[in-house]
Amino acid sequence: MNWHHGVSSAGRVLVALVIALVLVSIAFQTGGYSATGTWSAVLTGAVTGPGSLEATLRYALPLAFIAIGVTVSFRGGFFNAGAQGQFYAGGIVALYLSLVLPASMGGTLVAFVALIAGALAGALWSIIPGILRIFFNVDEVIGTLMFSFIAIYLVTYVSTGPLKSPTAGGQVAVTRSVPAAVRVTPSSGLSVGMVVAVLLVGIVVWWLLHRTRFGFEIGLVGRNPIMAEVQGVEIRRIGLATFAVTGFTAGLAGAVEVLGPVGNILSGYDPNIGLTAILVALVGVLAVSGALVAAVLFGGLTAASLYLPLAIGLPSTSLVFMTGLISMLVTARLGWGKWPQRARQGGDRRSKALHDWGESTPLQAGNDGTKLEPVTLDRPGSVGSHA
Amino acid sequence: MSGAARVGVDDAHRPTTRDIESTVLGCSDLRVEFGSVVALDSVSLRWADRGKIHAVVGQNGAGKTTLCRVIAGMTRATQGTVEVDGVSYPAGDTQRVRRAGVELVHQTFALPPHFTVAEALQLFQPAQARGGLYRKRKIEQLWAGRLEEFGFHVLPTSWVRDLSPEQRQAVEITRALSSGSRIIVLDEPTAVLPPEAIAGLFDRLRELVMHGITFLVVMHKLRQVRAVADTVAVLAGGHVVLHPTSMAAITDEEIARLIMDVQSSESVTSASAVAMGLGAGVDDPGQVHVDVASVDALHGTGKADVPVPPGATISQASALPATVEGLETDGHTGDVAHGTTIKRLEPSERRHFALQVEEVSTPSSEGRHGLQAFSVTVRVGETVGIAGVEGNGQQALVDTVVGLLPYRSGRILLSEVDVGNLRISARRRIGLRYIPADRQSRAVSLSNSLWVNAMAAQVSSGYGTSGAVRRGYLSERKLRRKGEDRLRQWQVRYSSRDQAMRELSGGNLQRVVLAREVDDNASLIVAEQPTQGLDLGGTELVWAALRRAASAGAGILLVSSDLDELFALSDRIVVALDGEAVEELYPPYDREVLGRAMVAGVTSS
Repeated sequence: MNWHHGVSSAGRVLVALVIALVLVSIAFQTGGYSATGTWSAVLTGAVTGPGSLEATLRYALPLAFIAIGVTVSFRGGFFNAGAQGQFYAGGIVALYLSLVLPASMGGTLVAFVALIAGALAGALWSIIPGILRIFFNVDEVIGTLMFSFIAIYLVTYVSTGPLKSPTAGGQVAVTRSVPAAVRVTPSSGLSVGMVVAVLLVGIVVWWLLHRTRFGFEIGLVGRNPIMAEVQGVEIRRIGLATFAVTGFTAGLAGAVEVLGPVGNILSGYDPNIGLTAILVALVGVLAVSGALVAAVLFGGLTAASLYLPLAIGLPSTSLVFMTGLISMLVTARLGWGKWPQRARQGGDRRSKALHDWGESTPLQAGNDGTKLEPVTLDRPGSVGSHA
Repeated sequence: MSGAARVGVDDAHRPTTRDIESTVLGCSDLRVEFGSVVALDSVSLRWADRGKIHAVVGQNGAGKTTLCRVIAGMTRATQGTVEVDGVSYPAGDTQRVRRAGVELVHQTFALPPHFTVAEALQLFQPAQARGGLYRKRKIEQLWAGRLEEFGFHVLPTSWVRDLSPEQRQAVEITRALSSGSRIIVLDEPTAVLPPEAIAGLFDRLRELVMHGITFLVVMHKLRQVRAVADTVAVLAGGHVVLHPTSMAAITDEEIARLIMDVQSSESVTSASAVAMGLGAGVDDPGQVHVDVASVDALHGTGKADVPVPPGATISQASALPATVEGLETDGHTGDVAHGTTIKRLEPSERRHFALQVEEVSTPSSEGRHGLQAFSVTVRVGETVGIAGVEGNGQQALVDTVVGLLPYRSGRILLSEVDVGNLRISARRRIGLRYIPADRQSRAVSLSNSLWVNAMAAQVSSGYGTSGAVRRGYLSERKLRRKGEDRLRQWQVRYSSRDQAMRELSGGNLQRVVLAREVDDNASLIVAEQPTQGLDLGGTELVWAALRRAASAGAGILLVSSDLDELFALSDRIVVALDGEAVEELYPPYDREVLGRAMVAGVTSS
């Protein structure tokens, strides 16, 4: 999109943030906490306190990885909601490889192989529901969420079964730890290498979206798959590719998390990261740069939420309320200047919610209001398999 | 009508107080703005007679639909009033205007598809049953009676989604009438109907007029206006250029001139697009004649109504020994009617096929005919029209040629290459181009920007983007520029190449489609209802573009339900019936012969 479009979306997001801030302040105040005191504690916990900024970036990292990939899927019109499972798949494979690959390979190489393998595992975990969606018309929201459940149980399985730490007590479901030489970050969870990695992934995905035919075609399919097919887009290939990219970055996030700050797999760890990352992508108005900024914002809120109970005795869930509000307000598209125009469109007024990249939501299929099922998708094997 | 016919702007009839008292429907000094666009500007109109059919005509974007919506209270006017039965209402007060007895029947239907007819009709009733409970049997009986009363043959128990366009329209009109309205506004009622259903609609309107119903009807085709309307008013550019005038007092030529000439910049634009952007289909300096000729063509005085001996040239579908020349030498349509020169093809020329469809069969689906061993060929530079009542295999033909639908048997060749296993992108690289009938979902992406729409096929299929796309990597900057070049070349009116497609009007939108689909490398253009819903200027532009493409060597497969269009453009016409190509017709064409062929097949009956 051109620059003024970017500025106007950023402005809208800022307005939503301010409104969320005001509403949350009111909630704090009526709940018996001083709003100013709470916000200064949030600031300390997220930015100014000792180690706060590191904590913010540490939590922003995996969110940024996942959100960048989710952005690709949503732009392509597919509501891939299974980042959680893809994140776990990446983590499990990375941990396994870090344990079984010979130390003689050297820590860096093992880490590299484990990261890539984790990313590919995430891609595989995403492509399976993708295939179900594209060839068998299984709703992708259901498919990806079901695959997340499988991954959740796999995490429980590996942490209580094959990879269980021999030193952990009987009740604690945790795996053996990643060898120190393979760890990609110190226990603070932040390293230059990983920051560079996330920026690199961001640049590559931005380039894919804006400088390749692939990205151009994603934009066509996401907004009107039927039109895209008529123009000669291989919509099934594009669809599968978007599932793969989302899974790849989510798997990479899972691998980084396990090889970095966490260092092992504890049953049920990071249970909300997948859905939070979807919010990050939406708050970032489905732009790569937006996803990066939104990831830092959400990372900061996460860091602050861990600090608040210690500082002022406010439960950490209080900020979950805030993230929820921000997401709702941003995705509600507060375009009050546009009401007359909407009225003009009359019945054409489809949901303007989740993002402004398209004129409607990925949940709702084609952004031109056309059905997401392209003409041939509900008839498996039709195009390209002529008599 | 008060007073005799008054033509032109200068001596336009100004309403007086006395007029208002005797007005069945009217508006005063209406102004409607959408953002910076002024859709209607100081529009004052009076229709005096009840129990009449009043037509409103004008080009796309002249403000006809807006006028309908304002009069029916669906759109709020910036200023002005609407008068019903001599009472003034502030424009935009739907409830009051409805209570006064005005109902709008929309251009596209707004009935819930998963309702039965009775349910859908009941849904819109202002008086609801006590407690909101209904008895299915009871409302079915009620609506069966109403539909019968208004003369429509629709079962109240059938699903709305299963209805044909004319049945849906019947239900819409029933809905409008059963609210007790005496004034019905119809926005382009004929645009959605297959040609064979239009006469039926007109009969129904005339019957209802007998019962004192007044109709305000927006139409595009002068032939239809002439067939049904009692008065006609013309809008151009949001202004009134002809106040309601008795049809007896004005000729079609005068109306056409008012539609075209007042907005002279418009017709010059389209004509000069022909001359400049498309490379001059006409050398005649008197461009005006081009317009007049096509206006004639549109309402039929040009050629179709020229007396032709019944039983014009017609034969079983078979390979044509000769091709018909004449269209290419001159952009005029009239030549088709005045006999054609026939040129025998040299053997070398005979091999040059743009399209060969050989005995192709496809499965039928949902009441639509598949193809049954359908055969048709299009030579290089030839325009072949496909005529037929809707649902006789036209859609399947287009979809198999384009590559959206697989076929069970037979062969399809594009430029003599078997496309059996080729994807759409490969077919496009051979030179296939497609102008779909379903513009909003197949032809354009409404939420995407103009330049993306103008370049989508080239980028996706990989042709005509030299410099901007290399091995999958593209330069967005160069693509935007290329897109903008095409938009300019086709005289699309736009404010920014980045603006969303949905902001363009119908005719302008089709120009973007042409900008993408008509280029020098086109070998076969599949044009499906290419001028449906377009005004005269838009129609002229599309026709000129197709003629120009044909003379530049592309084959044109023209699927149209507009017989005038088929006659004006086609070198021959193939009639599709029950998924088969049953007849082939050559000019000079005869409307009646074609009509009979479409219904039953001439030679078989």
